[in-house]
Amino acid sequence: MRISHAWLTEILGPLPAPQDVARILTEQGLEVEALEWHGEGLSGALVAQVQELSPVTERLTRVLLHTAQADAICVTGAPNLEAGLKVPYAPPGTRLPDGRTLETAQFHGVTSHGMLLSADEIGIGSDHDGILVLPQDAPLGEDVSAYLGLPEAVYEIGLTPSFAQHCQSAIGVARELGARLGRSAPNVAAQPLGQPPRSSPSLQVEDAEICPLYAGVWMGRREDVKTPLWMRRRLWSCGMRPVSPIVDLTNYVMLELGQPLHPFAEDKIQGPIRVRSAEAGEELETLDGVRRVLSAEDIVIADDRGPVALAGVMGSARAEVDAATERVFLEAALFSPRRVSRTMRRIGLRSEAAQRFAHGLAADLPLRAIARLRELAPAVGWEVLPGGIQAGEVAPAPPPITVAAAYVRTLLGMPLTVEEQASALRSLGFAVESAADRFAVSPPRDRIDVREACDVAEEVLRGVGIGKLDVELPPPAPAADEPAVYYLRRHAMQVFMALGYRVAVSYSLVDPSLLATLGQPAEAAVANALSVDLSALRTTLRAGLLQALARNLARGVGEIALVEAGRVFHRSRADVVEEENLAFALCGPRAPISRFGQQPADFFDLKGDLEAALAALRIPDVHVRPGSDPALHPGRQAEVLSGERRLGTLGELHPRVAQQLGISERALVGELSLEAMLAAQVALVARPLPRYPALVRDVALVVDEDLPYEVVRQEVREVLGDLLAADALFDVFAGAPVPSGKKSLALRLTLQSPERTLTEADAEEALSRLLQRLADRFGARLR
Amino acid sequence: MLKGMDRMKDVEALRSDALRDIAAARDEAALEQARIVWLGRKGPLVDALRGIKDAPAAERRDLGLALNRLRDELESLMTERQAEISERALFARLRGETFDVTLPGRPRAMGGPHPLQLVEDALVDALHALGFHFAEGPEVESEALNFEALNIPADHPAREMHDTFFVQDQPGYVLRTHTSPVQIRAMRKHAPQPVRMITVGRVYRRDDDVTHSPVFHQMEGLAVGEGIGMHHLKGTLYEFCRAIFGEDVRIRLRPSYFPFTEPSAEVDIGCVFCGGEGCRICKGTGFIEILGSGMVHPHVLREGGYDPAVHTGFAFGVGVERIAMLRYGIDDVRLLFQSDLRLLRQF
Repeated sequence: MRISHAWLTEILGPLPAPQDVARILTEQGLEVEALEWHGEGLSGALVAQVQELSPVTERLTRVLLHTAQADAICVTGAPNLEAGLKVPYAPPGTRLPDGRTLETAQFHGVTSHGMLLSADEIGIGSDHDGILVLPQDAPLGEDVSAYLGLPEAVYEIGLTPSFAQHCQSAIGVARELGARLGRSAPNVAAQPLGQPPRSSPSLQVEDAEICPLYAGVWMGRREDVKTPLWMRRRLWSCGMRPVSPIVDLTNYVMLELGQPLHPFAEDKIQGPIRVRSAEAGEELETLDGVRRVLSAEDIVIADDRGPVALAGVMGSARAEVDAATERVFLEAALFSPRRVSRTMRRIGLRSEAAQRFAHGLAADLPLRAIARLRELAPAVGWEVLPGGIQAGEVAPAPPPITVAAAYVRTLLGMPLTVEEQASALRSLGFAVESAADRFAVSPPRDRIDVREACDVAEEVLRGVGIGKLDVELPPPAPAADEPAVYYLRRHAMQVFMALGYRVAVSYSLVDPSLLATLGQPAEAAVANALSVDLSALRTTLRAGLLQALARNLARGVGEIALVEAGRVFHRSRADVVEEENLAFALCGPRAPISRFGQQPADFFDLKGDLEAALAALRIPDVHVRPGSDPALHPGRQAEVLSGERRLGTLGELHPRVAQQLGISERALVGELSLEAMLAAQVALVARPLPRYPALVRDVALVVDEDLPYEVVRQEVREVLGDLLAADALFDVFAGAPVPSGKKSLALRLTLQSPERTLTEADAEEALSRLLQRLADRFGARLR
Repeated sequence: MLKGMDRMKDVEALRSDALRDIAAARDEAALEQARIVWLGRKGPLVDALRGIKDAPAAERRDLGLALNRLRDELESLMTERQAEISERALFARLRGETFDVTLPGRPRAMGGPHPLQLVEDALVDALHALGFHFAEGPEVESEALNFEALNIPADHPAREMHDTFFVQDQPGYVLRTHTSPVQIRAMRKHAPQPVRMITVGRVYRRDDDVTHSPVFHQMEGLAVGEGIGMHHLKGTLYEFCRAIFGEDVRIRLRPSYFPFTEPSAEVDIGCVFCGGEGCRICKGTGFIEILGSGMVHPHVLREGGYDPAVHTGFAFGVGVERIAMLRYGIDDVRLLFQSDLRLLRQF
């Protein structure tokens, strides 16, 4: 909300400079998001008086002006001038807030020496269809900026929901500012309405839940005057547009006290006034000219002919006050915050009134507002007539809140005495009765947000100033278990970064068709998605990772190596189950082009990274077998296992899937379950270093071409057992001289015993055992 | 047979021939040849040494001395020559092996972190050092834990600030709008024992623009126990901000509102861009809003299984993206979710 420095000054008396006020308000919890200076930059304009008017054309008028020193002639198109009015005159050389400097100008042969200014041109209001008419007592020749007190500081305040309950008013903001300055903001007392006037219509409130208090009074127009400039300036500074004296008055009281008021043209409503829930499908044309279909959640004010207002949100066109209106029925009520808030959200109409009702109002505020209305009405030529109608009673103030001083001391960590706490509260307008170590607190009625001891503690804190808090570290607490998968994830990311991968972060909401393309359809979705491409919870990290890959390729970025860790979402019966995965992808060469040559990454690059990573992460007994993931190349994919435990998959992206994702190069991708990895992980225990020398033997085996290497390797490991310290495959070869249908596997075997030095004979014996077994099982022979 | 002065003259001749040969040896082979010729068993020196016995007795001593001196001299010259030859060979080899050291090195693709991960790790490590333990919770969360347990009943105005994604076919479940439900989980696990907890993870809101992403990350800290006060919150936040923004950071608490804390405070740090002078980023205020915090609301403590008359606590939450954007000068939050290598390779 907005409020001007001038208004706060009127309530509290002289204030510190606006920058300081902004800081104090912010420290008090009313965050000043912007400090605006209205009318900044106007210089040289003077108060002048209109002497004589003569037409130049149908639209333009020649105005003879009198200033203190001299007469001047201006040409204007404004319709609202008459002789004798005081107006702001900008002679040539005047600078305007928008940066213009005025000069003499010619209009149809008449020289205009400068111009007359509207509120908009002065920079204080939105009203630009007429010249700003100044009060008759404005001194002739005085500088307009000085006369109007420009530039005018206006605070734009961001309100949290709790401050929105008691600071959507000038009085509310002044109370907060006053607490820090040792001043108090006077409030208006509620007054009973008196008897209903004779022949007043009956008032029926269907349900006290939706409207705990409804008060109505009648007002009559006494003279035809314009809303005074001071009131219009308040409305402007708060961001509202002056409309007509009666509407301006009700808006002014709302801005001052926080109670929305609604005037109905009395001659446009008839019969009993009813406050009720709307009927679903009922229609109402609101003041903004929009025809609205109502829901049973809405509250309406209705007369004999149906709804005349959408309660708490906006009035209707049917009962709108117009220039001819002589009498109004004025409503001051409380409506259910919940219901108004729902209506406001449903129809997307955040009117000033609705924003106040939605947060709740003090129980006696409607009657206070009527009392204030009674005081101010004559200023706009209206009068509040005696008596009124009312449904519901002002709820009594809640009982005082009892607070132990020790509780506040502990909560704030401040050694405040009972008296110090009480005086902090009194500065905010609270009534406090203190005993030895506890006190009873009655908040001001507007402070409906203060209900329990912790709320009171916050008020004490704001009363003494939050800047007074001490700085201390909390005492230690016992250690607690932590989720091991978090640390595995961090470790795994370090390992993949060391292998050259960049960490990706993708949305966990994806397009369900993308998951379908990857053969892993969505299992859980969002009911109210923003768009279809963010509507399904990912079942695989590859969705985001491959999109990132495609996006990089499309931007001409190559040498892609990405890794991502995060959750995937599956369904188990009715529940959504979250699992922690890690995915990694390669596309294109591993490094930029250079004189050393460059080759696109292939399956074995990815697999090499996988093997290195799993070794670094202490996942034992890692091996693979051919896989059947539909998103991967059927002949170039594998399932990854640690022993019998499945860890995940890896492979080359299926060309059809690649095409659908817009990936034009061969892409390699793998995905692992971090939970499975965690289950497989072994503790790090250092092995003793070998004490005896190793024997290295190379053997070249000829086997069937389609025999998987992994099968041979398992056999080698089994036969050699503990003697095998290391094994490596250093050549695979098919073609002459190897017979067709066969391939040659060249293995380097490192044999070592922890107990003794192996002899040549030991090695020979072991190898011949191995070769015998391989011959028996696979028909393998030495090359 | 050599005689008298003739013998001595011959030694001299022998020496000058040998010296010429050694000096002429250009490589190891030639030097070895010279060694065999002059010092070999069949060489003239050995021959002469053998002939000493035939010399007159008066000459024998001098002749012996001269020949032995010559042998020593030749051996030492050969060693010197040997060193010269290897030195020269090494020099030649090194000259041959010289290449253009200004050629570029073999390129290596470095891996690297994501800015969000850097910030997350820094936040967690800072809190860890203060004795907070790490905890996690699900991203698909019950409305009861995401809202009600945190003192946000249906129709509470605060629900407006949390535009919520609901989960299809699972009534009562939402994508968590904040990491605060993890507070409740941690409290329920530890009550009535004290707890110091930190969590970090993804949260979801129906928002999508330059500064709001529908998926983003939060970090949350919680401390509950007997005698925990707001000064402990301030002390923790101060240490925490120092760990993230440096030793000289200034912090400011402002009263604010969160349904799950009372009193609540917004925490600002002195603007890291202008040092508090006022700039575009801090909108001239000299401060930047960093996180929300407060003393755990009694309702929330009760939900967590603590007695608010005995236990108090504080909590705070940070937007990871916001810190990353501030710290690295990134102005569009969506960049953090595109995995564009042109950005990632800067980290």
